[in-house]
Amino acid sequence: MSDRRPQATVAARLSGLTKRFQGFQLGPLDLTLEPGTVLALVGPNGAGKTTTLNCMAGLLVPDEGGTEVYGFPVHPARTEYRRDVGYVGEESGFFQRWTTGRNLEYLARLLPGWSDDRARRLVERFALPMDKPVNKLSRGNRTKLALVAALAHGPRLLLLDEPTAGLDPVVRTEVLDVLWEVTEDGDHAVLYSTHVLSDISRLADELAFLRDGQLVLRTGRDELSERWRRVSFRLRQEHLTLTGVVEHRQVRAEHQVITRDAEATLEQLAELGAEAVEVSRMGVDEIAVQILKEGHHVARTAN
Amino acid sequence: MWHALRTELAYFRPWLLGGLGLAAGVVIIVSVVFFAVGDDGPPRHAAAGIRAMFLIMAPMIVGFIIQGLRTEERRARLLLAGPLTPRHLAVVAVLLPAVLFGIGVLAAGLMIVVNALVTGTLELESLHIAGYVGGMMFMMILMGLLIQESTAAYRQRRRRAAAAGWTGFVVAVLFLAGLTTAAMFLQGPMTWPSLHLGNLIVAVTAMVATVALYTRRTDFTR
Repeated sequence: MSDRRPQATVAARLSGLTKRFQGFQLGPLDLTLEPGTVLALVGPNGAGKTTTLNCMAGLLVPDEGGTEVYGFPVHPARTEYRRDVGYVGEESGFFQRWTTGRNLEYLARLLPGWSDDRARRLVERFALPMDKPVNKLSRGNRTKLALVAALAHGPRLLLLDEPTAGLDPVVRTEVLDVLWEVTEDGDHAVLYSTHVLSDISRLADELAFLRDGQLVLRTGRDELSERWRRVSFRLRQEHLTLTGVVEHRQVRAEHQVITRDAEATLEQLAELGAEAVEVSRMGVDEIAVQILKEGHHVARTAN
Repeated sequence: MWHALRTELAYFRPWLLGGLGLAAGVVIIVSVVFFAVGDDGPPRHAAAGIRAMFLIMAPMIVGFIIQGLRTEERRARLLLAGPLTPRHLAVVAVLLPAVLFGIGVLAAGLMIVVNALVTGTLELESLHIAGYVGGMMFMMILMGLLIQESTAAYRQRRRRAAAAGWTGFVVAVLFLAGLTTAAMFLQGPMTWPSLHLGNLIVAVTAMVATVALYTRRTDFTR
């Protein structure tokens, strides 16, 4: 494996990435990830999140297109890119009957760039038991071990597949804390998939929405939360059509809407003479639900 | 790659030692029984054959267990994070049972030598029989790997590769059946060498085919 670590303006680039399975096609996906960016890949089950990450980790060979990590092409037969990739997936391939410590010792010899010091600090940070066999670890500790293994060789790109799925709130917070610390230095690019939408606001700078194998929207987190609003108002008018509204509930003259273009909606409401207008901000997780619920149309016009 | 192979062997050492320990227990019991019954019992070569058989079969049974555990633990995911290529992984996968078979043959050979020192008779025929049976088990492990890779190729829509793998399996079975049948009819001094050589050819071919199929995999998530 090469020790060259070229500086690059792009941490990862997906170019027309396509992978077909029976009854499902991912892509073609085009996506770039800049160093220092935390991009959340958001989508329902079966959207293609894991497939995307597996292609980027070199565990799946795409049918068309490809991926580059820091300028190196990703392919199982190539090894140059692996120095820069830390991957946490559902399964990590550890020696299940060996202890955490023994697995880490093995990885220290296997992975170039491994830092015992970095591994030790992470183990201490996570309070990871070193003398327990992996198959006796809780789900939370297995995730922590996978994170230690993914981070200790100093990769510049982290690929995290549902890292907090199935974790209790305490462990979830611990994991998110560490990920937040890791990403705060601005050197790491992170692509993580999740359907735990509350994680998004904690970590992600940007969001990419994946649905039925297609990338339907990529947007900045702040940008998204600036434009979406929940608006309630009073207006005696039937068959109301408002600009930017993706959800509309009406009980007699009372209305509650969710809009993807607050400015336009409020302008229109003022023209219509709406009364008791109340505007509230929406959490990124709520907006994400709307986008995923409403599908392609909302997503494409949301930004 | 050699580090990965050594690590796998170290990981599965308890199974291997357990298997060999059980086989050694059987060897001791059989030896005691045959010593007790003396010349009234079955012929000496049968006693030696049974003991050699157990010593060769034990690592092979461990080999079957290892194949299952490695698949279950999805080792490829871990190894592909490092500097190993799919070819390295495939070579490790096929060398593991080969090393186990070697250990079994070595243990059985040692037993035959010790037996010769004690009884004054070198029971080479017994070693041939045990080696042949152990070789068949070794072949079954390799054929299992070949079929596994052929099935993976089929699932990954590499239909030609899958067909080649399955055809190779059928040809190997027919070849071994033909060779064994011929050996039964044409018994002579070259019978055992021919059988062992036939096994070796099929084993090496299966290993090469498995490595070739694995290297062209498009999915390393399973």
